[in-house]
Amino acid sequence: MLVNGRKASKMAVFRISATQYCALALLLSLVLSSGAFFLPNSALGWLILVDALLVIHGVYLKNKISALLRLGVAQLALTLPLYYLIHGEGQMLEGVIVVLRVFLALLPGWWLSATQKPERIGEVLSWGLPAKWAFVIAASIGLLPYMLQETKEIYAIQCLRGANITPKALRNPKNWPELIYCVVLPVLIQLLKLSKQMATAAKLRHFGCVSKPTHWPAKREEE
Amino acid sequence: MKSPFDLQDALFIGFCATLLVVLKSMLRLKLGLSGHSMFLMTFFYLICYGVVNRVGAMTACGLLAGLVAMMLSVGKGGPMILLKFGLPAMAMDLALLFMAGAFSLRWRTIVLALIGCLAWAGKGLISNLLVGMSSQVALAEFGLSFIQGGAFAVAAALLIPTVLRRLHAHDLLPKKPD
Repeated sequence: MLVNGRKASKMAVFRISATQYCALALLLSLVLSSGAFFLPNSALGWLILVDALLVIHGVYLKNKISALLRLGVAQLALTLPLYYLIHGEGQMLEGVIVVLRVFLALLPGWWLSATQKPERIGEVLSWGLPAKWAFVIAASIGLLPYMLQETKEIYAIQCLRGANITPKALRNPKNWPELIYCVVLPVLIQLLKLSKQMATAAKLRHFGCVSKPTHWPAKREEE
Repeated sequence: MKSPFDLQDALFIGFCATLLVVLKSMLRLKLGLSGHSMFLMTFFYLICYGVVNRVGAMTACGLLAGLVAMMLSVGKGGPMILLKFGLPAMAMDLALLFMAGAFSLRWRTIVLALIGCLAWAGKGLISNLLVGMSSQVALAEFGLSFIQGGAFAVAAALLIPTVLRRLHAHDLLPKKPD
């Protein structure tokens, strides 16, 4: 056990930690995304090459890219007819390049979310956030299952009551206000109560009274 | 950095932002219409404004929603999403500075919704122009998305006064909505 631990710490000297890797990935995706906007047409080929590597990495890790492709096709279907109507046939290629750039700007984001764990991204973000907002984000994400469960229960109960909010009824926009009053309003009331309770609980534990808040150690999953 | 909200308000804003992100990701699958995201965005931002009743609440909600979306990897993910959620919220807060108490609540929410939508569509316009789209096509897309998004945003804004009044009836708001 002890030897293992020593080995791991020795390895960590030569290897960057998961958090640093995630920060690098975040930076890379930011650079590639802005590159899609600012690079000249001649350099676009290199960008496609780099993005193709990202796609291979993402697909290799068994992530689906179909949603992104569908978005690209929808964008193409909207932009090309507009180009055809306004500029005629001659500039269709330009329209294709524009859509390609938008697609290339979205790709690094997909890769980032496909390959990085959300909690690591959260850790990187908390480097720059004040403690209170980091607590708020952690609390909201931690309570997300509870909130969803609550919302589902309210929805089911209102459906049993006979409200016109079944998926079939919601196809008619006339029923949308009913969804707000029957489901969203009770959920908001729950959220207000929950935030009051949580604030009281945190204050009773002296939250915000010390300048340097303590943290639960978060290194447990690093091998 | 000292933040002006007390913990309860901050938590409520955080919950609203999370719910916004989750609902948005669930609705996106069902509808093929662009602009419907403005409905949820406007609704939750204005609720935050109404409940917390402070300038800056909408910006906080927008930025938190962007961060949460980035962390939960909702939507297309990536750093661009922070801008997507944050920009309309900042525009709405900025507009609020100039028109605090100028109209009745109903008109204030409608104007704010339209301004948020303008910022949302404007962001699309700028990114399209940066990409090198010709200005006519970009303007046409801007107009289209402004009309679509504006309809959804105004629909959300019209619901706000009633919702706030009902929340007040449950004794959950510190101040009566005017």
